[in-house]
Amino acid sequence: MWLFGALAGKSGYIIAFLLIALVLAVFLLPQIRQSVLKLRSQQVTIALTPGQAGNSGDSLVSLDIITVLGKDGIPSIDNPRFVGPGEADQQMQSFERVLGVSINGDHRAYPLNMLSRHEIVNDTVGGVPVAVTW
Amino acid sequence: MSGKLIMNALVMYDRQTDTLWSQFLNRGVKGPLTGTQLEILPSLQTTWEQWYQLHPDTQLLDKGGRYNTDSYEGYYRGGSAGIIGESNKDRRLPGKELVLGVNTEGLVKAYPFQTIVRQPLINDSISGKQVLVVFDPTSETGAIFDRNLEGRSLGFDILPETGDGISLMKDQETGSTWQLLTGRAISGELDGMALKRLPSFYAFWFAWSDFHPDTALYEAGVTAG
Repeated sequence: MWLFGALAGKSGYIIAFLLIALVLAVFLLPQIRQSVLKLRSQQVTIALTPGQAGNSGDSLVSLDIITVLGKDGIPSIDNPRFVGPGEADQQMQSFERVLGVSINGDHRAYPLNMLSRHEIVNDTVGGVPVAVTW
Repeated sequence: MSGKLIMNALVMYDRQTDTLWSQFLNRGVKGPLTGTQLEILPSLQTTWEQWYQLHPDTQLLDKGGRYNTDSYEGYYRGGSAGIIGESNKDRRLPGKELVLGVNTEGLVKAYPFQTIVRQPLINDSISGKQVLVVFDPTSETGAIFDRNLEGRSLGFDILPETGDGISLMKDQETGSTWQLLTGRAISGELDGMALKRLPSFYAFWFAWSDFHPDTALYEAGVTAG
């Protein structure tokens, strides 16, 4: 009743306008978000190997690099600590997923639950410096 | 971690030169080391149980009593394609369908999980290159190998489950027994031999097809290269 009453008055037009604006904003939000991200992007041109990013020869490809967070906004793990298989089996549920790496007989498992929060682990496996990325 | 993305995928920086590196393209894209390639080392994305069975002497990155959930759980199940949406809408598969992708010597092909779950061993050829695609449906683990061993092309068949949780296969040429996911022969004439892993990627279809618009797509029963 209040809404109908208000719409009948002069301020009703303003409220109606705001409602329409709100509905439009909801529909346009994804496009607005896209344009804002586009503004925060930089374009680079690099040579890729055949098959990558639609490159069929040795031609150059333009890519947009978009900034969504600050540098180290997601902190990498730089001094990883490991536990042996017995302790590991205590820490893990059987169905939990891992990224497993084997180099020169050195087998290491990185829980995806941890990789999702850190994205990068800087490690040395079997003497080889590696970045485990997710 | 640079805070930047290329087509929704991770962009890293190194602390020595501040070069930006694309994870998906495994190369420097901006800065002093632009164009330098990082070597992709094979890894297995699997369950803890499966990894522990394959490698009982494994170490585990210490969870320190935390990290019992995955912050992307909702994203894995949801319909959204990354933060900025798709660059190349390839409707051959739904965007969030998981694929096992391989990119070797410019040969690019994707194997949808929905297909390899029913066909867990594929003796395939990609433009003449003999490859072996394997999948363990219980742990949803895939791997791709070169099935040429010392100049000889091998064909494989899956073996019935033995109950210890490790899937096995045998080659048609010598009948040797191999572990499906590690590509190592564990008995028979070829005991001790190992197939070469090809770098394979576990990815959503939208991301794979964004980075590889010309990718071949495996269709059930079609193995011609």
